[in-house]
Amino acid sequence: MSIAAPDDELSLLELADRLLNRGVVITGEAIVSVGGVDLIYLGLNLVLTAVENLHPRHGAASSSHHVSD
Amino acid sequence: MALLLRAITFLTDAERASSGPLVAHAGIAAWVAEVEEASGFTREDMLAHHAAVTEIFERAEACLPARFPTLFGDADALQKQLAASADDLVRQLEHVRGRAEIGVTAVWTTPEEPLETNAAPPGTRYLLQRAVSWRRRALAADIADTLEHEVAMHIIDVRRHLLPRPEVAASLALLVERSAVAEVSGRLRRSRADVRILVHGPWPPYTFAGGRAELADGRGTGAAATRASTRSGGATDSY
Repeated sequence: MSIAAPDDELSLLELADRLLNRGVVITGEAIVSVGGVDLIYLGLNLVLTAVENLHPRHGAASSSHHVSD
Repeated sequence: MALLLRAITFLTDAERASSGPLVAHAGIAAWVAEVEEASGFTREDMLAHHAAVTEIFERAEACLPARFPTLFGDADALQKQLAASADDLVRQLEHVRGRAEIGVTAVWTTPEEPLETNAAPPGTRYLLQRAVSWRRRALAADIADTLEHEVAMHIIDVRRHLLPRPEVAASLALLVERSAVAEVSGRLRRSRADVRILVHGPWPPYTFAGGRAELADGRGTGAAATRASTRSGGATDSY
C-alpha cells in the first residue's frame, strides 16, 4: 500500500471530490437542459472520468461530461 | 450557449456584489456563467469553477456552491428550478450564513501491517483479514473523533468519511464560523504519531450545500458533532 501520495495531490483530490460530488443540486440531480429538454446528469460517470482528468491532459482533452438521453 | 450554475446566494448579496449575469427568484439569486456548449469540461474548467465560486463566497455572506457542472439551457429553465426549490435553498443559505468549510485529511504515516495467513485455512484467513480491517476502521474512527474533539467548540456541522482511500484514515468536512477559521486550522495542524494532518480551506461550503443525501457513503458524526448539533439547537443535518 502506498502511503506516499504527495500532499498536493491529496489536496486536489479532496477539492475535486467536493466540486464533483457535493454542492447544491437544485432538483436532486444535476440537470442539463438543452433545447428545452431536461436531461438527467450521470454523476457517477462524471466522477470516474473527472478523477482521471486530474492528471495533466495528454493530447486532446477527454470529455468528463456525460448526458443521458 | 448554455448557463453554467456557479452558486446561489441571497439576492441582496448578489445585487450588492455581482458584476456578472444573475438569475433571480423570490429573494435568492443564481450566479451563472455563459458557456459555449454542454460538453467537454476539463480539469481546468473545474478549477476555474472553484475560483469563481470562491470569489462569490468571499463577496456574499451566504453562498451555496453548485455541483460542477450544473447546466441550464436558458434563464427560464433555471428560474423554474429556483422556484421549485426556493424554500429549501433559503434553509440551506441560512445554515451556511457567515460560515466556511474546512477540509481535514488524516494521512496514514504507517502502512497497514501485512497478514501472515498463507498457512491458515481459507475460513481462518478470511476472519483474520476481517479483524485487521475492523481494527483499521476503528483506529480511523478514533482519529476522526480526536480531530473533532480538538475543535468541538467551533464545529457547527461536520461530515466524516473513514478510509476513503488506502492512504487516508479519515476525511472530514467541518462547517465553522468564518471568524474561527484561523484558530480551527491551527489547532488541527498539530501532528500525531500515526497520521499526518492536512488542513484545506477555508472553502465555500460545498459539503454543506445539498443536504445529507449528497454523501451517501459518508458515516455518522462523532461525539463532538453530536454536541455541536445540540448546541446549535439540533438544526444541523449532520450525518
